[in-house]
Amino acid sequence: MSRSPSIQHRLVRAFAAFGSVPVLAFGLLVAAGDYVVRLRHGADVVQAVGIAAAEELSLHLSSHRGAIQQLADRFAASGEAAWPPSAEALAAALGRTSVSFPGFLTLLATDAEGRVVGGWPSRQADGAPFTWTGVDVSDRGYFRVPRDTGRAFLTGVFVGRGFGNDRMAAASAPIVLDDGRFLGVVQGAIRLDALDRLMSVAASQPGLELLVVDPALRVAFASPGLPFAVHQQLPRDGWLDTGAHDAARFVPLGLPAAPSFDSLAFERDTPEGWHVVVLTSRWHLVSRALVDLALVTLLMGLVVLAALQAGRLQGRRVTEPLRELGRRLDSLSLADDPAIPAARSEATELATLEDAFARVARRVADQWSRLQDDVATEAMLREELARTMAQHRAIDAELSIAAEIQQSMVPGRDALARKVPELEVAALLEPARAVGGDFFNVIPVDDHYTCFYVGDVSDKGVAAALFMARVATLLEVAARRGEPPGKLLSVVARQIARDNPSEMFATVLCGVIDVHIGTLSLASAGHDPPAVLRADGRVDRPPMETGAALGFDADAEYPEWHLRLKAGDAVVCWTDGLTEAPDAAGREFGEAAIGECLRGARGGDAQAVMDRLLGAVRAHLEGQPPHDDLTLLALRRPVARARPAPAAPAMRPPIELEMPNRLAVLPVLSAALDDALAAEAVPELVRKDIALVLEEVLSNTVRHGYGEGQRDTIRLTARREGERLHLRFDDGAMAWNPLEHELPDLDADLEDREVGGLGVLLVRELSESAQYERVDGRNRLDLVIRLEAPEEVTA
Amino acid sequence: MQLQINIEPPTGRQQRVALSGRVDTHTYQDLDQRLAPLLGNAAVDNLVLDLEGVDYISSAGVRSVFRARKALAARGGKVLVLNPQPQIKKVFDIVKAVPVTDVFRSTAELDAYLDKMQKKVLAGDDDE
Repeated sequence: MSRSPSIQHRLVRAFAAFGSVPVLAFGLLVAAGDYVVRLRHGADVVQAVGIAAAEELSLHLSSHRGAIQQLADRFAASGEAAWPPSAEALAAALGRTSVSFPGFLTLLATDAEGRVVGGWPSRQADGAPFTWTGVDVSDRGYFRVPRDTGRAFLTGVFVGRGFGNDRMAAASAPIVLDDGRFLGVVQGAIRLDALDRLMSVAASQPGLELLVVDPALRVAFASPGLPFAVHQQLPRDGWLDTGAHDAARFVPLGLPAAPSFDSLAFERDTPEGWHVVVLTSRWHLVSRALVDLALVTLLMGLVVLAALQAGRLQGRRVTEPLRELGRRLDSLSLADDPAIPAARSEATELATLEDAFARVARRVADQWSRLQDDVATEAMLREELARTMAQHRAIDAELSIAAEIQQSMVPGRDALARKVPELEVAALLEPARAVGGDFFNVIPVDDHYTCFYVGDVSDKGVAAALFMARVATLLEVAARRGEPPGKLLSVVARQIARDNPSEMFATVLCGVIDVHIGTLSLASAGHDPPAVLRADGRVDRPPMETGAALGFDADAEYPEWHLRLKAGDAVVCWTDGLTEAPDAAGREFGEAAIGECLRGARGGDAQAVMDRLLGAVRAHLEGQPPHDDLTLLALRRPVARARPAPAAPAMRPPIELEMPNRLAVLPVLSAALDDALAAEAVPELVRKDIALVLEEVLSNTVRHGYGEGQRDTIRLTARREGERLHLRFDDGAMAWNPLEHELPDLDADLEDREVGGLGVLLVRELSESAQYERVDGRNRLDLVIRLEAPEEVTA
Repeated sequence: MQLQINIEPPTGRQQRVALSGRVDTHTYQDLDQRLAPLLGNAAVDNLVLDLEGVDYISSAGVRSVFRARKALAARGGKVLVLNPQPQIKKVFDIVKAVPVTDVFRSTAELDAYLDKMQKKVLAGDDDE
C-alpha cells in the first residue's frame, strides 16, 4: 500500500496546488488595493495635518504680534508727555496683556534710544526682582527693525537668555506718535513650547513626521523621528523648493542623515514666512500594506485549510467505495497467489482494484485452462468408452456362445423325460447373467440307479461358469461309474482340490435313487439338504450332515443319508438363488416359504411342484431381476399306476431290492420291504420278525463279510407263496455259511455265555427253513418265513 | 430308527432307565454309551429297563442287555426288565436274554418284587 499515494492524497495535493494560487492572487490584489488606498489616505492626512499645523502656527504668531501692536498703539495714544510712564504703571499694562495672551514669556518697553524702561514680569520665579530698567537693547533686531521701518516685527526662532532653553520668537512694535515721532519700542517674547503641544497633536498620527522651519530656515520644531535639532540651520537650497505646496507628493529629502527612501511630503508656508512640512515615509505605507497582506493571506490560508478538510471528507466518499470495491473484487478471486504482476496504477485505490482484477483474471484463466483439460479428458474418455463398448460387444457375443455351451451341459426338459422313464423329473436353471455358476444333472446309471446332483459355484459370471463346467464334468464322469453319492463327492473333491488355482468352490447336493423301490441315498458338499414332499402333503427336511464344499479339502468325507421315496413322494433340490431371492424390501424367500409352497403342491406331478415353487419365488421377487442364478430340480416317484398293478395274489412277481454293502442303507431297504408286506396285509408282528431277520443277516454280512474298502451290491429277492415268504440274500462277501455256525449255549451261566452269535440264532429260530449255497463266488442264503402270527409266541 | 434313553434319578440302589424307539444295530452303541457310567457306579445294584416304548430289538440290542447283566452280576446286581412289547418279549425268549423271573409286566408287579427282595435282604441281615 505504501508504494503509491492514495487518490485521497492526490486530490488534496491538487486542490492545494490549484486552489491556493487564486487565493494568493486574490490576497495580492487585496494587498495592492490596500496599498493604494493607504497611499491616498496618507496623502490626504499629510495634507490636512500640514494645513492645520500651518494655520495654528500662523494664528499663534499673528495674534501675539497683533497684541504687541495694540499695546504700542495704546502707548502712542497716551501722548509724548505720558511717555515713559512709571515702571509700575508700565508693568501693570504689560501684565494685563500677558493675561490675555498666555503665550508671552516676557514683555518689555524701551525709550527711543533703545534703553529698557520697564518690563514684565517684575519678579523671577524664585521671587528675586527683575532689573529691566536701563538695559541697552539698541543693538537688537527687535529694536532696530521697528525703529527703522516703523512697522511691527516678528523675529525667527531663538533660544532665550536667562529664561531657560525655551525656543522662542519675539514680536515688537514701534511707539510712534501721530506726527511721526518715535518714542520707543514694545517687545514680547513668544513661547514656542506651547506650539510644540499643538504640533505634537498634529503629528500624533502614526508614521507622520512634522517639521517647522522659521523664515531664516532654522528648525523651530521637528518630530522625534526626524534627525533635526531645534535651531539647526538648514541649507537654503534644499528640498523646500520641491514645490509640494498644492498636494502631497513623494520627494527625496535629500538631506544629510535623512532616511534614504523617499517620503510623501506636504509643505505649507505661513503668511509670516514660516514653513510647515508634513512627511510620511513610503516604507511606513508599504509595511502597513504588508501587514494587511499577511493578515489576508493568513485568513485565506485558513479558508484553504477548511476547504481541504471539507474536500478530504468529500473525497473519502469516492475513495472508500473504491477501496471497498477492490476488497470485494479480491474476495471474488479467492486468490492468495503471490505471483500476481505488480499493479501499474499509482493511486492506492486503483492499484488495489487493478490487483484484484488481475487475480480475478488469473483465476478465470486457471478455470479456463482447467476446463480445457477437462474437455480434453472427456474426449479421451469418450474414445476409451467407445473402444470399451466395442470390446464389450465382442465379449457379449462370446458370452452368448458360452451361455449356449453351458445350457448344453445341463439336460433339457425333453431329455430329462426320456432319460428316466420311471421317474418324473422337472428342472429349471436360470442364470442371473449370461452365464452362471449353477448346474444340475440327472444321469441314469443302470436299470435301477439314477444319479442326480444340484450345484452352485461360489461366484457368478464367466469364471464361475468355467469352474462349473469343470465340476459338472467331473461329477458326471464319477456318476456314470455308479459310485454312491458320498464316495462320488469325495472323489470329485479330491480331483478339484488337487488343482484349484482360482480358489473357487462349489456346493453340491448329490443323490442316487433306486427308481424301482425308491431307496434314496444323499450326500451334501456344503449344500442345502433337499425337501421331501410326501404323497400325503407332509414335507420332510432330512437332517443330514454335510461335508466340506468342493474346492479346498482334498480329503473331505461326505456322510450319506438314506431315505425312501414311496410312490407319489418327491424330492426337491435347489440352489441359494431360491432361498435368498430378495423381495423389494430385501427380505429373503427363505426355507419356510419353500415348505409352505410344497405343501400346497401336494398331489401334483414333478413339473407342477416345480411350477408352483417358481411361481411363488417370482411373486416374491416382484418383478425384480434375479440377483443370483436360480436352479430347481424336482424328482418324483409316480403313483402306482406307473407300474401296472398285478392282479391278486400280490407279490407274485418277486420284489427285487439292492443295496451297497453299507449298513447305513439297511433301514431304507428294510422299510421298502416292510411297505410291500404291509400292502400285502402281513401282520405287524410278523413284519417285525422279517425286519429282524433282514437286519441280522445283512448286518452280519456287511460287518464281517468284506475286506477294507471292498465294494459290493447285495441283492434281496422276496417272493410270496401263499402264507410263506421266500427270501433270498445274494452277496459277494467272503464265503460263510451261517447255518453251520455254532449256536451259543443259552443255558450256560451268565458268566460263561458268549455275547456273540445271537443274530444267527434269531434268524434260524424265526425261519421255517434255511438253505445256504455258494454260487459263482457269491453267498446265497434262502430263508422261508411263515406269514401268519404263531399263537404261542404272544402267549 | 431312533432310540430315546431317559435315565431317571436313582431310588435307593435301583436305577431306572426308560427306553423308547428301536434298539438295533444302528442304535445299540448309544445305549452302551449311556449305560456305561451307571454300570460302573458301585452304588447301583439293580438296573430297571423300562421297555414299554421300545417296539423293536435286534441281536445287537440284546447284546447290550447281556453286557449290562454281566457287569451287574459281578457285584450281585440284576437287570430287571419292565413291560416288554410282544416282539421284544419274543426275541428275549428266543435268546433267553433275561430270566423270566426278571421280567415284569407292570410297575406294580415290579414294586412287589422289589419289596420282597428288600424284606429278604433285611431278614438275611437279621440272621447274621
